[in-house]
Amino acid sequence: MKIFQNKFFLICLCVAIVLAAVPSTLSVMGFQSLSRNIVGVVTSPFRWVATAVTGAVEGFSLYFSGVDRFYAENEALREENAALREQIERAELLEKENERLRAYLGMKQEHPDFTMEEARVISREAGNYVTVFTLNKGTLHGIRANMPVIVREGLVGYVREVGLNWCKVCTVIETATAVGAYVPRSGATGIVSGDYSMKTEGVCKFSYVEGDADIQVGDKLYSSGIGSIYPADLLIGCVASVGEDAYNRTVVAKIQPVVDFSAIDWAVILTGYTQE
Amino acid sequence: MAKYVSGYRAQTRSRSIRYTVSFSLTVLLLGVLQVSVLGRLRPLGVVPDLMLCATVAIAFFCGPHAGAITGIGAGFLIEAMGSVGITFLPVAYLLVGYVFGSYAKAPGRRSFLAYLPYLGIGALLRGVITLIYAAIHSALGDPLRLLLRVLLPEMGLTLLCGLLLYLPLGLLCALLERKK
Repeated sequence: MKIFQNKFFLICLCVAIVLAAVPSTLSVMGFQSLSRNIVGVVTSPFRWVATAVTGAVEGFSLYFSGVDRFYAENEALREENAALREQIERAELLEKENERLRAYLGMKQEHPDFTMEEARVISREAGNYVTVFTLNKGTLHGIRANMPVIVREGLVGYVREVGLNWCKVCTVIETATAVGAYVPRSGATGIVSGDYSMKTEGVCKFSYVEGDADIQVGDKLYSSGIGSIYPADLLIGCVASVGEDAYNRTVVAKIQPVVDFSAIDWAVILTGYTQE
Repeated sequence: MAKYVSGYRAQTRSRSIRYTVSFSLTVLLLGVLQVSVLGRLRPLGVVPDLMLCATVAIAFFCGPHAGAITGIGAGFLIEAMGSVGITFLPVAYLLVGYVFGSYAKAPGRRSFLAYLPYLGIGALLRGVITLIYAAIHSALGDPLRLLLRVLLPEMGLTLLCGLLLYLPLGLLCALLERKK
């Protein structure tokens, strides 16, 4: 053992044995080693800095290692969100259906003499103001041309063309439409019809009214039942403005229909009614 | 003559101080790194023995004296910072530092390939030290589990850290040698 003849090694070995034995013995006896205490105090700031840096690095690496988890969580939340959206859409549809059925029932109760065929709007004429639209009922359902079409709010128009399972409806602002109307407040009568110049504004005109007739802005107009298409007492609209016809001594009023034609998605076709 | 002897002694003292300060700082830095950083991160669930790596590298590059002193300091420091109870690391690391330094001091043996066997034996020794500690603390348990979960990862990581320390510690020793 040549190594144990080396003086340097022997001194080192003695030091090492002391450094190992003293703390071990003190530790086993339940005392705290002074050397450990000193080392602990001296290295404490370094360890604090190292721990802080490690914590920061750990947090930084966690951010990246957590990306996969975040992706999976995001995917799951997306799916949940889609399912909830579907539920909401279904609920909205049911609510709409409920409203429609309530309106239909209301109309039935208001007009017990009417026989009605409920129909859904399946297409609209392109343009800023919808004046013609197509319903999903036709001759198969007993629909014929010139049948009046209404909604809960009032008169929409009449059936212009009929197919096997569809029909086209002209609204009251269309030029081909003419409805006999009256103002209940004053009893003034006339004809509501479409006008090219007014069509773009979504309004129609009330003409053929006697010059001395009492018509005011805000007056409500109802169908008079004159003619063979519309039953009496269906609300058409309100008077928006009143003027005189430039060519004869009659009054012409601008009428704002009560029905918002662009928002209709269902309507009722009157297949029969009792005319008083 | 007395003047020359005095100059030689001053030079030797200065060199010793330089070595001591450099190796102390290195050991302190690695000790803090091992206890605070790697002890917290625990890659593969174990803590690699940086102190043993430092002892092996310094012994390999700077010879038995530097290796022995580094071994004592490293063993003492890591025990003081990181454990309680019975300790024998100063003696174990002293032996590693002195013996490895004695074998590696032969000229032409300081290449990377020559370093690898020392590192490999160091890693194996690390495994043996862990086994002894496990036996002292009655924590041997399932031998297969101990081997797979503790010994092999620990030896592997120690080996890896030793490889990573080869260059910086080699440079440090080269710098100190140049200032002779």
